[in-house]
Parts: sequence; C-alpha cells; structure tokens
Amino acid sequence: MIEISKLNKYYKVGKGKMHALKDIDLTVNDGESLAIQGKSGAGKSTLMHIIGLLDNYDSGSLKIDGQEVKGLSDGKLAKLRNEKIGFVMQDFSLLDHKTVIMNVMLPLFFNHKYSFSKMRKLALEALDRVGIKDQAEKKANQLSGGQRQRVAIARAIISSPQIILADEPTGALDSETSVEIMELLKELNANSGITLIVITHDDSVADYCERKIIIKDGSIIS
Amino acid sequence: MKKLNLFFLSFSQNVFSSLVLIIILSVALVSVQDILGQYRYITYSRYIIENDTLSNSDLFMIDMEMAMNASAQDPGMMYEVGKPIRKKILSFDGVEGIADSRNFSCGYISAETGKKTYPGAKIYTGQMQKAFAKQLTEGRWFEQADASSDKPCVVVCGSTFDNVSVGSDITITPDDYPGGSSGVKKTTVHVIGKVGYPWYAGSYGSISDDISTDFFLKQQECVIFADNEQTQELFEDDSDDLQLSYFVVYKDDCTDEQRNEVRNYIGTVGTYATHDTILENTNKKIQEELMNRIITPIFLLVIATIALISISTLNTYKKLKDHSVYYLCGCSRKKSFAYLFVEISIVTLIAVAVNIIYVTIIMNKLASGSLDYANCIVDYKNILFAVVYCLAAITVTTILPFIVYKKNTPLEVYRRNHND
Repeated sequence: MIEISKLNKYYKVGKGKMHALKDIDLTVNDGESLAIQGKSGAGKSTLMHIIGLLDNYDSGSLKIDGQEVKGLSDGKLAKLRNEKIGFVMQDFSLLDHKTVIMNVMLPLFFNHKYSFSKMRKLALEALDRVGIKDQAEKKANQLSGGQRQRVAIARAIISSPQIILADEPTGALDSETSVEIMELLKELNANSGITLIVITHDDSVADYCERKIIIKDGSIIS
Repeated sequence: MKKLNLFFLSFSQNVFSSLVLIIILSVALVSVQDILGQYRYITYSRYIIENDTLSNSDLFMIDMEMAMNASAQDPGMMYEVGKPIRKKILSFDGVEGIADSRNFSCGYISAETGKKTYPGAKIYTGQMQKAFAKQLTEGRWFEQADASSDKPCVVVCGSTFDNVSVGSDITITPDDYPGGSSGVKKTTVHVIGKVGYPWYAGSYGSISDDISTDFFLKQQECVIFADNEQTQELFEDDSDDLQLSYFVVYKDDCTDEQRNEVRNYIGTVGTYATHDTILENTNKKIQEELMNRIITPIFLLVIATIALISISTLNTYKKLKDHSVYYLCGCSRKKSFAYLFVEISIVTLIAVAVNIIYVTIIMNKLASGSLDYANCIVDYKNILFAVVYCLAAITVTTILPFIVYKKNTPLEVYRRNHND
C-alpha cells in the first residue's frame, strides 16, 4: 500500500522557488489501478518520480507498505526500488545497444539473489509473459516501439514487484499498439495483483484504470 | 560473475579505443621503465665511484695503439706491454697503489644441489677493495675480516650465491672452467661478504675520452679474493689478464709536484682522466643523454593519460543514459559510479599489469642468469613506479568523469531524454 500525506515538493527556479506539489494526500491500495492525469507541468510526473523513489520531497510523508521512505539512504532506496517497483517509461528507458534478454535481466544484476542462469530463465519467462520470447537475443534497437515497450514491461515485472509505475506508457506508440500495451498492463494488474499507477494525459489510457485522479498546479483536484 | 557480466555490458562498447590506449600506455610505460633502469644504473655507479679513495686518484688508460701494435706480433704481448708501465707507476713516490683486479677461472659447487657452475674469480688489490667498497651489501671486506677462520676468505657476487649466507663455507674449484682439466682440486673457502642485487662488480672493460662512472661496473658472477699469499697459493696460473686501464691511487700526503710527475709519465704511455672529470662526464651524461631520451616516453605517457582523461569523460557523458536506466532498475548512485570507475580504471590497470609482468620477467631472467641486461637496474622499485603511476592516472582520469556524473543526476538525464 502507498500512503502519501501532506506531501510538498519545491523546485528552485532562479533565486525563487516553485511549489510543484502542494499538500498531496493519496492512498493507493494493493492491487489497485490508478490513473494520474493532468496537463503538462501540473506535477504528475513529479509525483510519479517521488512515488518511484527517484526523487525526494521537502515535507510530508510517503509510506510504502507502512515504511516511511523519508531519510532512507541512497542504497536503501535503491533496494526498495529494485524489489518493489517496476517502471515503464514513455521513452522505454532501455539499453539500446544490448540484447533484449540483457535488458530484462538488468534489475536482477542489482539484487544479488540469483545466479546468472537463473536470471536468464526468469528473463525468458517474463518475455514469454509479454509475448516476445522469440526476440530475446535481438538488440533492443532492432525492435518496433510496441515490442520495446513490451521489453520494458518484462523488465518491470521480472523482480515480481508490488507496483508498476507507467509514465505515459503509450506516448510514443500508435493507437493500435497503445491498446495492446494497456491491455497487457491491465492483465498484469488483474491477474498478478500488481498495483498499477499510470501517468497519462490521454483519457482512453486512463479508462483502463479503476480510479482516476487529476492534478492541477501541484494539487489533486479530483 | 554477475558483476563481471554487468561490467562487460558497458565495457564492450569501448573495446577498440580501450585497446589502442592500452597499447600506447603499455609501450610508454615499458619505455619509461627502460630509461628509469638506465638512470638508476648510472646514478648507482656514480654512488659507488664517489668515494674518498677514488677522489684522490686518476684513471689511467693505456695507449691502445701501442697495445694493439704489440698484440699484432704476439697476442700475449698486449698484456706484457702493460706490466712495465704498471711497475713504473707503482715506483712513484706519490702513488699509494693501483685499484684493479686480476681475473681467474673458477668453479663453484652448490652445497644444496651439488651442481657445478663457473662464476670465475677475481683477486682485488687493497686499493680495489677501497675503491669499490660501497658495492658490498652484506658482511665485510677482507681488511675487517675475522681472522679466526683458517680458510681463505671470499666475497661472493651474483645470483648464483643468492642462497649462500655470510659466515658460511662454500666449495670452489680454482683454475677450473667448462671442459677444463680433470685434475682440479676442491677448496673450501669462507664467505665474509656479499655483493647483492644488481650484482655489479668493479670492471675496467672500456676506454673512452668521455669516460663516466657507468664504465666501471659489470654485472657478473664471481668469487672475490684478497691479494695475499694464501690466494696466490690457490691459483697456480699466474694470469696475464692485467687490466689495460685502472685507477692510480695517490697517497694522502701526495704533493702537486709528485702528482704532476705521475701524470706526465702516464700521459706519455696513455691517457688519464681525473676523478672530477669522470664525475663531470657522468653528470653531463645524466643531464644530456638520459634526459633527452626520456622525453619521448614521457611525452607518450602524458599523451596517453590525456587521451584517457578525454575518453573517460566522453564515455561518462555517453553512459549517463545507461546509468539512469541502472538507477531506475534499483542500482544506487554509489554502485553505479563504482561500475563507471572500474570501466575508467581498467585501461590503466591492464597497462600497469602488462608493465609489472614485463618487469617481473626481466627480474626473473636476471636472477636466473639467462639475461645480461647491461647498464640497467630493474627491480621491485620499478614496479613501485608502475603502481604509483597507476594510482595517479586513475585519480586524474576519474576526477572529470566524477564531476560529470555528479552534476547529471539520473532524473535530470531522464527528463532531458524525455523532452528530446
């Protein structure tokens, strides 16, 4: 479960400060799917980065599974990110020059749990789940946009995370492929119980989620 | 294994540039080592020759034309020519003695293995002992030797005697040589001193107008004896192998007049160089010759290091996106930089490893006697140089990439890519 309370985030702009997130209160239950919507610059990506432990915040509280993340060291945050959160980004965030399987295995390199052969096995299972097992040995930059996003999803689920954070996951895809990707994410949410948080400005993408919130000028308005 | 895979994941992108740099760095380091070895040799020789005995001496070099003419008629005459000259020099009032040695063949039977080798023997005059006294790394010279032993005392020099300790007795076979006579007698001698690595014993092999201290040492295996009656009895062969050049050592109270008298004479039968001239030539050689020769390898080393800094910094920029992906996947900033650090350092580490292997091979070959690496001292200090360079190069080549890495957080990189 994700619990956010009175969370504030400021950015330095020149000599002044910009209040990017204002007193955010939000609870996301396990297995829930949530769409965070808003216009460009509203603060939705900032919120996602904070929930994803990629960025810090200035005040308030963020708890993941009851654990307050404020004050955790870089190493502990990285461990938490590695074990509990999977990311699906608009630009795919893949190592383009590496093979698909290496990309998928990447989170396992940092958790010291498995042998290399076990990592390969898990990566192939994840790729099978997203329907591109046959592309495993291809370089990531040889794939289409839809396939690359599937690789990103396979990488996101390989550590069996509790949460998938998807930042504009269909932003770089055509409408047909967008549907496939959202169907896949929805299926993972429904069948695996993974909490799904999607950042989007697209209503059709948000419709795949059970709950929607809208952010405007750093505040949740609905 | 996993970490190695992750490392190769990144490193495989830079194999070609890394290989080129490794080659340039290795060549530069080996060249620097070579010059460094020569520098160490010449300064070591200066250290040996710079002493009170030799500061009151002149190096005499026989007129080679005269000696050659004599040997044209009879090869044995070359040394015969030297005998009366030597006798005449010793007869001058101002002369204390001559610092030289006579060479003999000699066998050595190892107590450990029973194996026989032929290191050769040298009989040092009293002046020779004083002239090359600093060579001794262990024990003492004959003059300070314990008289309790009735066996002839020796100083040993060379890798053959590495396992022989001062105070022990060894077995030698005087006048023995490979394929020599079968009637050699075994003699036990008492070791009172050792000339350790780099095993340079005094030598007057060369004659030159601009003679410097490096002319007086030769890496060799030998058993050194004092010039006394006991030694004379050991070596039956009255060697003709007299030196054609040697130091003429003056008495402490030798007047300028007496010194000039000697110089006038030796000037007629050869040439001479004063101790000051030899040291001047040595310093000139260090400054002009070695310094000129070191420019190229140092230049190569600097160029390679600058290239390493540039490539590491560019590489860091290139890798920022990859490292932002690592961060996303749960790699901490510290670990991420550690991977980058290993990538940056690997080129230097490989080049230094190549260098250390090179130095170790040379050292082993020298120790086994299979390499005569003339006029060059190579030992663990050379490895120390390589390690110091390695640490300095890694520090220098990591600073800029570290600044680049620190300034570009994964989130900033992600945002930049997102906006692109």
